[in-house]
Amino acid sequence: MAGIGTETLDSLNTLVFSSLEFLFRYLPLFLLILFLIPKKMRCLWLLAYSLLLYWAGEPGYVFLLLGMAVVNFLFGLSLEVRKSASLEAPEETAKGQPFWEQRTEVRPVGEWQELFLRDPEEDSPRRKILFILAVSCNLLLLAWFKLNNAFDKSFLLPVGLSFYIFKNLSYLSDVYRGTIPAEHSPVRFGAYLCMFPQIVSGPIMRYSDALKGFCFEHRFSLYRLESGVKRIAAGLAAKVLIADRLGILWNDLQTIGFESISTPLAWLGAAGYSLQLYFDFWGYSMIAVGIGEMIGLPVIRNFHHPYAARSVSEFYRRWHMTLGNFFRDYVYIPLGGNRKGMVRTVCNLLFVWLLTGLWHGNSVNFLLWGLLLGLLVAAERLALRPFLENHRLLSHLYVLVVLPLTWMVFAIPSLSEMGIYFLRLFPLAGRPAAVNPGDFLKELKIFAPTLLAAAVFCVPAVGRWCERHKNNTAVIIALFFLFWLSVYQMANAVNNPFMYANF
Amino acid sequence: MIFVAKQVLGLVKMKLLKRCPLVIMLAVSTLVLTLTAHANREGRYREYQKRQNMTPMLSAVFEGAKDGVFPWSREDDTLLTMADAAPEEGAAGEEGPQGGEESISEKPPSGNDTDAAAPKEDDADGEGEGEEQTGEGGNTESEPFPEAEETAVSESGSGAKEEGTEQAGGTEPVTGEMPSGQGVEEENGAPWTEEAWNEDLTYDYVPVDETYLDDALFIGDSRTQGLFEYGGLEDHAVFYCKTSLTIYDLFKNDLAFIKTNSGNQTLTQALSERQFGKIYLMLGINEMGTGTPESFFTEYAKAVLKIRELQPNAILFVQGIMHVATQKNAADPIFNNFNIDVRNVEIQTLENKRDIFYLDVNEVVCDENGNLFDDWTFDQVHLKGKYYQIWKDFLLQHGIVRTQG
Repeated sequence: MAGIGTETLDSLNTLVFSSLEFLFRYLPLFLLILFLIPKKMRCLWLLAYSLLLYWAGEPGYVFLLLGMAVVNFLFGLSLEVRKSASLEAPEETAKGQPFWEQRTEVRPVGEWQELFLRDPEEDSPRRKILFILAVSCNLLLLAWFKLNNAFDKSFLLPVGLSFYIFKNLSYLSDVYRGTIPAEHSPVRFGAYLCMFPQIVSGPIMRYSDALKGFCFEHRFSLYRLESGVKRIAAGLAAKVLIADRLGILWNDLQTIGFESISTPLAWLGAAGYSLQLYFDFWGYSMIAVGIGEMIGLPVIRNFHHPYAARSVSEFYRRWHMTLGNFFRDYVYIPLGGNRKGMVRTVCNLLFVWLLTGLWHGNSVNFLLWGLLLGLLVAAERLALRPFLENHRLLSHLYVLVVLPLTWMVFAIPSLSEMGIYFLRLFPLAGRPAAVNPGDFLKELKIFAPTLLAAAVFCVPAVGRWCERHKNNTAVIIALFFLFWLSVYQMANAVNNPFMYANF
Repeated sequence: MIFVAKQVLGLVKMKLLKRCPLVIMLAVSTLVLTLTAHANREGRYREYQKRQNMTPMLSAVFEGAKDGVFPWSREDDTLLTMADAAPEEGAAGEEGPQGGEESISEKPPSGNDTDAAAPKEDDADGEGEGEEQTGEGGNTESEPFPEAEETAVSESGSGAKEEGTEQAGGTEPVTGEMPSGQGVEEENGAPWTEEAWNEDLTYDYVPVDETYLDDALFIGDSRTQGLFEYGGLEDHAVFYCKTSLTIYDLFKNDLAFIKTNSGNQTLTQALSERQFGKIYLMLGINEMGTGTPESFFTEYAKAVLKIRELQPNAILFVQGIMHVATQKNAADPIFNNFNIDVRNVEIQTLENKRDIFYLDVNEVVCDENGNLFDDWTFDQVHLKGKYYQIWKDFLLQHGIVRTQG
């Protein structure tokens, strides 16, 4: 996820949002030039700058990225649903303009569907084969990298590859289904795929959303600039002040060794990890969305107070929403969703969740994690739902206890270590020798303020209050200080190699 | 150009501050911080080199703030603490910013050549003078630094190297002489040892049980803290330890790191109040990025001397620094086992087999390549909880029982 992906970048930090280099150099430079150059150049600038940043971090893979963009661009063109069978060459429609300035007309999605679902070419075998070919190309590439990585851990995946592929898949599917027109401008298509705010860990923006932004051609707006900066400051604080801090707690547990943690500490660790993961990814997403907002892209919601959910299914409708929506729209529903009987529904759910698990990583624990979630979601659908709906308090409790447990399966790759951890959570085998019963208090003393702050920001009412009062002077001043506090932490974290070795 | 001018004019017109207060506040503060860092780049932020070309300059302001170096703190203060690496004993820690001294050598060796070299030399100077030439040291040392340190540094650029070699020569005898110097102190301080010295008694290790540690004190960093928490010794021994404690914290910085019911104490205070039978010391990993092995050992030997003085009857166990695991050893240019061994060899020279003993726990926690067992550690540096038992057992196998003769 966010944290994992960014660690593979080199020290230039070109794509690490929570780095001083990015915040004070790369981002301002990008924005400054973006706002100074003529509007029609802005897409090109976004693409060029994104590739430059990617190239600085991952020199080799930038060509892979470009190659994939070209291939998918061509696939998109050939899949486009047209009334007339002949493909118009882009040059012909250019009317003397350079090809990247051609506009693709945006129409409401419904209208497009209306227009093209009845198209006789829609179901032609040629299109079907082409679509399957295009999707397989993308999936094979992803699988090839993931498998290589599975067998040789030193083989690193290109940063953000799975997000990149998922954007491609959603684009191709939408074009195939006719819900969007194919993009005729390679620059705009490239900018959509490679844009640096989303390349590392999403959000997986749909092409139709990107078009909304692109058709404004990144109109400069002070309101959006301010709002974007606010998001960045808040996201940075979530990532640096809460997630990174809680990361030390989880690190402490691993340093002690799971055999030697007390049961209360095991639960504290599970809670800490759950919050860390949330604030890490939420913070990242907020920064990504904030940057997008500044350049005119629509605000995409990736998290919506997940820990306030009352069932596991609801949790995942509020957690990493763009990924959840992706699996729903492009896997679950095409498989038949819940319309083909109970058995089929459960099978579909399990399949989708296994895929989700695999996508997160290829070790056994991720499969187990996906399977576990699939079973939980299926159980909720089959039996638990009425109970959860009628018992407000118990349903919250259920989520708050069960989810951290599933995160532990997510977090611990080795099955034997996982077993040890669960035996510490549920000490059925008694207490091993080298356990320090006071460890819980020691860690709590250090992390209580952070845990408390994290818990407070998990409450939807707090989020709503912040959203409503975001123009309040006090909130602005608070964000100002949070930003600089985060910068203080970032400036000193790098220089302190022992930060994560604190015992 | 006209387009640019139009854009800028447009911005001004729009009542910027009202529309986007946070953007303006951040932009202005960034500018101020950058200018501050820039203006002081040769001054108080000299020690905070940019990590790389793209690191923003204002980073120095925040790194400095962590060490207590603020834009408004008097420049002389920070520089004085830096220059006087070893001022008169006792006065050292009082100025507070422990970072002052540490920042000297925290600077990455890859930095600007002259800049990086010069202060390191100063460090060695300070240490050497503290030992040998207390009188002269004060004079020569205080001259270049209090003001115009910029010129001092650049002028002495070429001279610094010669001085450096001289000083290096000057420091070495100190390390060599330490054991004998300490013998002298001991004869004055410890009544029982006189006989021992005369009889030329030495002791061998014998296995002991946990009660042996009932009058023992452990001083150390996070690793010793781990021994306290997971070694099961809390009912026997006393532990004065703190995460990232360094040898400099013991006496030079006089850090009040010992928590007691009546507040925090420095080691000097604690050792003056209570006498121990055995004192185990393991320090040195945290300061590996600081100074040279020589400057480390000089401080280490001084600390051992001081403990000897405060605790005349205790058996001192100086422990070799525990190694790091394979991966860290291979990847880390500083925290690797070669550098640890360089320091351990020096620590071992303090052993006299009479009242100071050297113990190297690496004998039992390392694989055949001398790396900490990979399975025994998560972070490559600290033992996992259950393996502290092995360290404890090692210590219990190496008890010294001396009968006064």
